[in-house]
Amino acid sequence: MVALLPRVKSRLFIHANRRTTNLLEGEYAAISAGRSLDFDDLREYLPGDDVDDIDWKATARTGSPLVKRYKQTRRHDVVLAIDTGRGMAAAAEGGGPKRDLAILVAGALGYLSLRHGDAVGLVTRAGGRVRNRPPRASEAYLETLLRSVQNETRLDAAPGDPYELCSYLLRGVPSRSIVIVVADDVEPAPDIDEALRSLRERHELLWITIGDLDLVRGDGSDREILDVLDGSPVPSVLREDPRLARVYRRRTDDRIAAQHAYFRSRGVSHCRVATADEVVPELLRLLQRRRRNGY
Amino acid sequence: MELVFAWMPLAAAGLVVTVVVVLVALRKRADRGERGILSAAHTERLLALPEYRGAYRRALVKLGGMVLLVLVALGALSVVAARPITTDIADTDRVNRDIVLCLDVSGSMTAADAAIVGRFLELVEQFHGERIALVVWDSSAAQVFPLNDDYDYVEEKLASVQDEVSSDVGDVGDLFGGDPDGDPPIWAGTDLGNGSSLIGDGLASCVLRFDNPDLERSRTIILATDNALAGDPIVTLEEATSFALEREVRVYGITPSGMFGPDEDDLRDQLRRTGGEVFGVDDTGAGQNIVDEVLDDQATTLEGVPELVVIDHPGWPFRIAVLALWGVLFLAWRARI
Repeated sequence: MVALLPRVKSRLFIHANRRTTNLLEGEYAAISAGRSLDFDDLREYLPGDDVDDIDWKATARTGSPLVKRYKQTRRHDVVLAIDTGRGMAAAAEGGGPKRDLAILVAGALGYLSLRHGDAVGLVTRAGGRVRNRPPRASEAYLETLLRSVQNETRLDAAPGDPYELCSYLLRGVPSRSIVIVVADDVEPAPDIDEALRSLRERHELLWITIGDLDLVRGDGSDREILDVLDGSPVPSVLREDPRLARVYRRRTDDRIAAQHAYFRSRGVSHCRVATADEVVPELLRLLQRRRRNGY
Repeated sequence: MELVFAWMPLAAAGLVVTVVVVLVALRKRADRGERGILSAAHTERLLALPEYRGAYRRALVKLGGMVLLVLVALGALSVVAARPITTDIADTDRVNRDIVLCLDVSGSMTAADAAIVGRFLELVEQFHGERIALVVWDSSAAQVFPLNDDYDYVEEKLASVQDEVSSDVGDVGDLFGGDPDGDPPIWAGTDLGNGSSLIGDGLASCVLRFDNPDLERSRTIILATDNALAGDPIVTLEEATSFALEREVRVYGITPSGMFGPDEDDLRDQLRRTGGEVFGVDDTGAGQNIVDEVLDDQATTLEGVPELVVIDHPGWPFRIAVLALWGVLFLAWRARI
């Protein structure tokens, strides 16, 4: 089996350019608001660092911007809550499973967390049973977590329910953590409002939606599209019906807009990822938006 | 109406069943392969759209219509392939007779020709399958139409000849050597000989009209003349009669009314040598006599074999098939397949 984390890293460092990665690191640092008063050392300023942290005297001496680093009072826990239901084994826009995108998102954020000195844990819900792996700060552990996501998300897995995962997170993650939900492309459900708001108050909450395959355009191959749950086919003849395609496109656009609006109105940092190339820029945009606007 | 290859529609039905079975089997096999399948979540976002149901219904109607039309076309073509035919027993003994109508158009016959051609028309109505020719002659002979069994044509031609010979003598058209419609007169080319009404030459020319001398056929000449020779013929009536006898041609005579005396006796004597007879144009039943003589007397000498005539009728199933295939093309275009 090919290791998953190196692939994530290569996408972070090679496919995305160096500057983006630095930006990502800086923006990630801004997630954890708490810092101690014990000065640790100075380091180069990275975009996304708080301007208040800049040591102006040191900056004046060296000629390049330096920021003060403080010893963290405590290590942050990052909880990856990932939907491993059958829906995540279905195709994303490129035709590959959505699971691969979820692994990419979780790997990228997990790796940034490790670089920042945080510990990464994983909560999944498979076959009606919640599995909670406690946070640890180790790359090998992160690799194990990614692998279990890969193994759990199968075409014969039970259907996932990200909202049920949320209600577990309320009970199962006691200390304040950074909670990153990687969820299926679900409809916003009003009855989850309460859980979502509590979750947001107790933790730093990031919600990443993995987008579904466009059923009209398909993945460009002539493969027959079947529903992942009940196996009902999407006849290819009907996908060529222009009227149907137009209506579907409009409905999809409306749905995605409603999805964004839903999370935004509840103050949850949300982004939507549909292809592997989108992952790094979308995450960066999400973190920037979060620092500047608070969601 | 019967089918030559009656098993053809059954074979077509068998073919359809085989194709369906093979397609179903292939589809089952394809179902087993995971490679051709793309699993997608939330397909109800497309499948539950009301527009989807509309499109589904439209596609179903188009597809069903195409399948139906293909089956109709296949059925119709299988009927074509099965060769729908009707059969008929044709009597060949009648078609073994050749009859040359031999008309004297000399000046002395002018008054009688219309009545004689009328007789010819009556005769022709009684014949079925015999080949008929018309030769007109005066000092030389000219063929109006050759031996043929197209009775519509024969009657039309005879009617036009009758029309022409009935015209008053001294018509303006006649004076200038043609009738008003511009056709040459019926007697064009009959005045090339030496004299007029050269009966021996006329009869001999008519004898020469019979083709296929080697074939065993009944040959009859119906000679209409007044036997009023005026001139210097190449062959005499006697020589011509002998020639007819030699060629096994029976000659019947029709003479104009009011003719009697040595000319008619001479004609009767000569024609009886060939087994024929002479009738006056006014004799009631002269035509019937000739017909009876021709049919009764000579039928015994012919051995006709009844022949099975097979006529194909591909018309209506073929038309249905073409229409159905056009329908299939139209639906395929509509469905953008």
